[in-house]
Amino acid sequence: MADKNVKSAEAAEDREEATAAAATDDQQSAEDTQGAKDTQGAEDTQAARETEPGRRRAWRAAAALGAATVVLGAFGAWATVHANSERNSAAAQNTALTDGPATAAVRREVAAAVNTIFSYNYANTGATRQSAQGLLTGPAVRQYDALFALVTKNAPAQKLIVTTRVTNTGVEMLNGDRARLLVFANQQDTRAGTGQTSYAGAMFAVTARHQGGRWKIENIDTFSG
Amino acid sequence: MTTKPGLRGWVSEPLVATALVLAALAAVFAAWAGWSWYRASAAGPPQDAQLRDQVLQAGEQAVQNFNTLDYRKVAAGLALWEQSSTGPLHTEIMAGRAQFERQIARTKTITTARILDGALTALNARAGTARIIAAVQITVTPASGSPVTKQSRLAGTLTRTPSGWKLSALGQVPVGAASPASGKGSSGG
Repeated sequence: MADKNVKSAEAAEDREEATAAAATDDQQSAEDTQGAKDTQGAEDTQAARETEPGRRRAWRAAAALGAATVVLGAFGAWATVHANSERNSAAAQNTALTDGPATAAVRREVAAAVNTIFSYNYANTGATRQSAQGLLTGPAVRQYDALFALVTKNAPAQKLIVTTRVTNTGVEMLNGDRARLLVFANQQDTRAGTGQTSYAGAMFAVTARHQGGRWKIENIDTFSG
Repeated sequence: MTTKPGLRGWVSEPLVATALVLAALAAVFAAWAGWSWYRASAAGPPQDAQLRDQVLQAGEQAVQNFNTLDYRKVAAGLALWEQSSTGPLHTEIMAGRAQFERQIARTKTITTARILDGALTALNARAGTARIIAAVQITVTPASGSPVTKQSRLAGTLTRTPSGWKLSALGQVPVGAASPASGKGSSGG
């Protein structure tokens, strides 16, 4: 009995809760509808009311965007000018010393080329001339031909053995496949006939071009001009 | 309900839209230009390149100063030597100054120099040291007789001081035996 009562009471409570829940749902959906109506109504009136202020606001936005465009465009132009001037400045394009490995490579190869082309043995001047072919380019080819014509003529008579060793190189300019170096070299001349040896120092500027995977001598300036 | 916002869009929104597009384009341009500027200043190393050029210029000027002396203006000339030098070279000049002044007053020579070419062979920005080689044409005009011109191979060491880069060593590159070992060509004088 008591159990039954409790049970029925529970059932009643359940029903009540269910009703309450339904009521809440109803209320919410009513509120939803009401809210939607309110918003739409407000929008309608706002649109009608704010056609003029809305246009003004649009103008203001356009003006702000225009100002931003001017500022951004000005910055862009300024940065472009600066980027170009930095890229094109002689100092920036010259990578002598600032590019360590490239500087070392051009020094090494130009020194080796100078050592080779200015070292010869009277007994076999042809060997030097042949090695020089791959180390020279442009005007240096003709310069060297003129010089070496004298060597081929005179060296055998004097039994001359010339050994050239570069002692100092400094890269003045290095820009891609072009370079200019100041070169100091020592020259040892031995006359095989008399065994007489003399030493001489040379200084000249070399213009070099990177061609076919190595640095070649393009021009030699002996500062005689 | 839709006519009024539509009308408003017709009147004002093309303006806003156009302004928006232009602003967006300007933003893209500014971003691109800013980036390329950043890249240019990062890739092109103006700092070390500028330093190199500046040190070379200071070095060439110092080498020229050291090969210029007029017996009529010895004090000024030697003062310039002092200003252009530091370290061991400076000490050497200070020590030999009096003797040098007497000598030049006796020989009455005018020496001028022209830098034919110069290059740095090494530069260590952090340590503040550099090495320079220079091809110099030196003209010595004696008290009587015609001027004598000779070309000289000079190598020096530059050291950074609070008042600029100065020579701490300078000398002629010796005309010695051609040693095959020095074929790499980086050994300074």
